[in-house]
Amino acid sequence: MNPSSLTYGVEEYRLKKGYGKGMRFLRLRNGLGLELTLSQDRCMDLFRLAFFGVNMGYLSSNGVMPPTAYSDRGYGFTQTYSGGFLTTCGLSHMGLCDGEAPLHGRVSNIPCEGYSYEETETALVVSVRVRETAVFGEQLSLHRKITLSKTENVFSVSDTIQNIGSKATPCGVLYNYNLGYPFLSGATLTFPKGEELVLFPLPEGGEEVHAKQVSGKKACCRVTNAHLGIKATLTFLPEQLPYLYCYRHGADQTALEPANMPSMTRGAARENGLLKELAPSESVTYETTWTFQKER
Amino acid sequence: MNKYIGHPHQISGIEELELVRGKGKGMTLLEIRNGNGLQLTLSADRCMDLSRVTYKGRNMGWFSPVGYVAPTYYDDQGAGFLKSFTGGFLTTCGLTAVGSPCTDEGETLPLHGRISNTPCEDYSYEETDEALTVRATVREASVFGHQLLLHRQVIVSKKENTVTLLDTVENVGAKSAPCMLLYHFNMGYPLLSESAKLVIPNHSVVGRTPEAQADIARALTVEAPQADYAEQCFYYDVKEQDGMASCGIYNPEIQAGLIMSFDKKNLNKFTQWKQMGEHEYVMGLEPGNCLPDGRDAVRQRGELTLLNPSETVSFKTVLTFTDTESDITSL
Repeated sequence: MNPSSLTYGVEEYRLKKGYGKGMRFLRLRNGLGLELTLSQDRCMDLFRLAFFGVNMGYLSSNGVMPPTAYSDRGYGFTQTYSGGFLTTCGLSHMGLCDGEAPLHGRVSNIPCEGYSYEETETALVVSVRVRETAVFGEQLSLHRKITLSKTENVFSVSDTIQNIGSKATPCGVLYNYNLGYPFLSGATLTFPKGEELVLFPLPEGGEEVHAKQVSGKKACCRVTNAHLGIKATLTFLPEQLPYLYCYRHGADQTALEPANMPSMTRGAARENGLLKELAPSESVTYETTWTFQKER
Repeated sequence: MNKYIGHPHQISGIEELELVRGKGKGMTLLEIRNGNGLQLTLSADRCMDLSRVTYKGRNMGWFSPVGYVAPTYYDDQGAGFLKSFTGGFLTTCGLTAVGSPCTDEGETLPLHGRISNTPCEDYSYEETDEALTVRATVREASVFGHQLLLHRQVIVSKKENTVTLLDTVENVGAKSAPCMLLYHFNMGYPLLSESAKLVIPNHSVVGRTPEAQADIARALTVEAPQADYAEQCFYYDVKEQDGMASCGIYNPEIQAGLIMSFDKKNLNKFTQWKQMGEHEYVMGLEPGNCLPDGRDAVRQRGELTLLNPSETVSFKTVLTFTDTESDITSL
C-alpha cells in the first residue's frame, strides 16, 4: 500500500463533522486528472468524481448522509439519498416501492465489509464485499471491484452478485450514475443508437424519464461538454444490462442508468414476468466503464 | 442559492476529514474546494500547513517520500525534522528557529524549528459568497523558554483562484523572544519539470555555498531529476512593487502556474531551494524574515527579529493560480 504518493494513489479518510460524522471515504487519484471519492459505508458507491478539478456528479440537497439514518419504509430512501456520481440501486430490488420492496433497494445504505487495495503497474484496484441480507429474507452478496487506470482516464465498476441463501431471490440492479453542475452545464447526451439529447437547461420542475432498451455487443452513451472540452463515455454490455434510463429531475440532476430489468415495483415486475431471480449459489456479473477525455 | 446544484458541497466548501491509516492516522485535514478549480488540503495537526494543492486537477506541490506523518512522531533532535518532513505545498518553519540546527545562547535548536510539527490548538472556518476562510492558532511554548502564539488565517477566494495567508506571531511570554519565520513553499511535479519556467525578479542573488555560487547562472533552470543531486540554495533580494515582492512558476506542459506575492516589509529575505534529485524533486520558494542559516548565524549578522512581551509581527503572502503563461513571464 502506497497511501500518499505524490500524484496518484489512495488515501483513507473519516468525516469529522455533520450528519456524516464517522463515515469512511477512500480517495483515489490516477495522476492523469481523475479523482474518485468512494463511500465505504455506503456500498463503496462514488460519492464524488472530479476530472481536471471539474465536479462531474450531483450532490443532492441531503449532502453526505450516514447509512444509520436510512429507513426502508415508503420513500425513506430519499432522506439519505446523496446522489454522488454513483448510487447503486439493488440488490434484490431496484425500482419503485410497494408493500414488498423498498424504493431503489437497500444496498446503497449498507456499509462495506472492509476492503482490499492493490496497486499494479497500470491501475489502482479496490475490492470489497457488501451483503444485503435479512433473516428469512434475501441473502445476496455483492463482490465489487473498482479499477482506476493509471495509464488513461478510465475506471470500471465490476459487480458480481451471488445468492448465498438457500432459496430463489429476486435480483434487480440499476446504476444511478449522476451528472451535475458544472459538467452538466451546456452538455449534450448521445444515446447508444446515436440519438441526441441536449441536457441543459433542464426541464423546469418535475421530472423527465427517457427509457431505452439496448442491444448489440456493447452500448456506449456519451456526454459532451464542448465548453469545458470534456467528454464522458459510459460503456456497458446490453447482454448484462439491457435497459437504460435517462432520468432528469429539477434544475440540477441528470442520471444515466443502465439496469438489468425495467424499473417498476416488484409486484408489477412479477405480474409482467419481468422479475429477475437468482437460484441458490447462482451469481451474475455486471460491468460498467467510464472513459473521460479532455481536449487541451 | 445556485439552482443548478443540490448541496453547496457539490462544487465548493470545506470538509473536515481524519486520516485512517499509516503514520498519519488520526490527523485532521481540512479539504477546501473553491468551485473554480482550486483544491487545498490543510493539515490541522501540523500547523494548518498546506499538505496538498491542486489547480484544475493538476498537482502543484511536492509530497515527500515520508508522506503524512502525525506530529507525535516528531523528533526534535538535530535533523530529526526530515523524518516528518511531508513537504506538501507549504511547511512553515519557525517560530524560534529556522534553518540549520545549531546552539544559540545556550539553546539547542532543531532544523527548521518545531512549529510545523505542532497541532493547532484551536481552529474555525467559515464560508461566505466571496471566500472560504480558515482561522487557527498554533502555540510554540516551553516552560522557562519562549512562548509564542501564531494566529493564522487562510483565505481562499471563490471568485478568483487566489489564496491569502495572513500570519501574526504574538509573544505571549514574559520575556523578549526570537521570532523566525520562513514559508517553505514546495513546488512539485507536474508543475515542476524541465519544461517549467521560474521567474524571480530581483535586485541581487547569491549562492549559499561556493558550489551554488559557481552555478548561479543556472539557478532558475529546472533540470530533470538526477540521482545524487546535491541541493543548492540561492538567496535573493526580490523586487517589490507597492510593498509586495513577487515570483512565479509556470509549466506549459500542464498550462498552469502560480504567482507568489509577499509583503516585503516583514518578509524581507527569500531563499530558492533547488533540489533536483530523483524522488526528492522539488523547488522551494521561501519568503521569510530570515535566511535558513541557523539562529546563531542570523543573530551574528544582526538579522534576528526579537519580539518584546505582547509584541506582534504580521506576515502576508498571496498565491494566485493561473492558466496564462504571460502572467508569470511578465513579472
